[in-house]
Amino acid sequence: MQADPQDAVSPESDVAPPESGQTGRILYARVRPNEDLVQTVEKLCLQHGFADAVVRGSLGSLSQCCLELHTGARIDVPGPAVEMLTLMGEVRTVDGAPRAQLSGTVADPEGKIFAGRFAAGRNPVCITFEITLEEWLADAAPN
Amino acid sequence: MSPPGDVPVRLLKHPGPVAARRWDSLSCEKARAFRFSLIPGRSLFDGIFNAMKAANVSAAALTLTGGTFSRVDYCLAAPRPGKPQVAGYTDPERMGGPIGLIGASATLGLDVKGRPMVHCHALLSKPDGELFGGHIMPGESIVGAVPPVVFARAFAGEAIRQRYDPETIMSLFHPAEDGPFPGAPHAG
Repeated sequence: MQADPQDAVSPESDVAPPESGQTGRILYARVRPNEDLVQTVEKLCLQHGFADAVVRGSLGSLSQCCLELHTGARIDVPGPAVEMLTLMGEVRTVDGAPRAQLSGTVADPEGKIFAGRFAAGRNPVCITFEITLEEWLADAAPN
Repeated sequence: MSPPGDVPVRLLKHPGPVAARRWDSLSCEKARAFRFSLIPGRSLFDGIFNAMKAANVSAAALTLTGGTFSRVDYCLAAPRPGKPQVAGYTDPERMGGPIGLIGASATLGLDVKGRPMVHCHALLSKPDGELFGGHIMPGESIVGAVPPVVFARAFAGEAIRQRYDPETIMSLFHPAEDGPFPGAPHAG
């Protein structure tokens, strides 16, 4: 017999309430070759004053791709052109510095699919990258 | 051979001059949001174009999920020996259906001649569940019996335009430099 998931919930007092908020501005960018995908997303947030943001659209190619796997291992997908298929993720500003956490799927030049989290500094844009980011405006935390 | 995860990051030399500005961006205070379904039997382009035209939108960032295609023409980025560009698209491959759409992202903008254009990359599934994907040819890919759902965020005016990019010598979507400028000649 399966355990009732309700039996396993944490006591309410142990769990922080979810962050509430709303979406704000939205930005669209075209990134030029050789710029790093992850760091450019962070720089776009600095430029536009987005403290926190959610990825709302992305397409383009990388000249090579480095993915961090859930195991902690990293894999390199050789180019010279790796197509982005899907991308999800967010940017959070911690201690004043924006940090992008981006995961998705790519296809190598032979069409083989890989998935993982994009390693900062190791994912240079090939021809172009289009990215759409939506600002997340968190409400002030209740005291 | 370098261990996995440790190969040097190699930058590519493109044929044209390197632009000093490394990205172009625009931000929008209030982006209208839309949800619609593609049209069975019609192309991906047709479904996006008609829904957005009805809402008087010519620039949008879209995400697509679920549903099927009866046919998908797609290509991948690949080296182009003998061509000046560092990479180009392979010849399109045609995949017969039914094909499942797992996820896709698309941009609607205006092409170099001022006509609506859709750029779409997708992750798709063959009937046996095997994944494939790439750059989808929006006019040649036909929606199947179950229409994919599209969420769109619209930018005001003609915010996204295809322009000739001297660095890569390709024509690519960019944020429009001066906002809406109907009838004005495009750059490049």
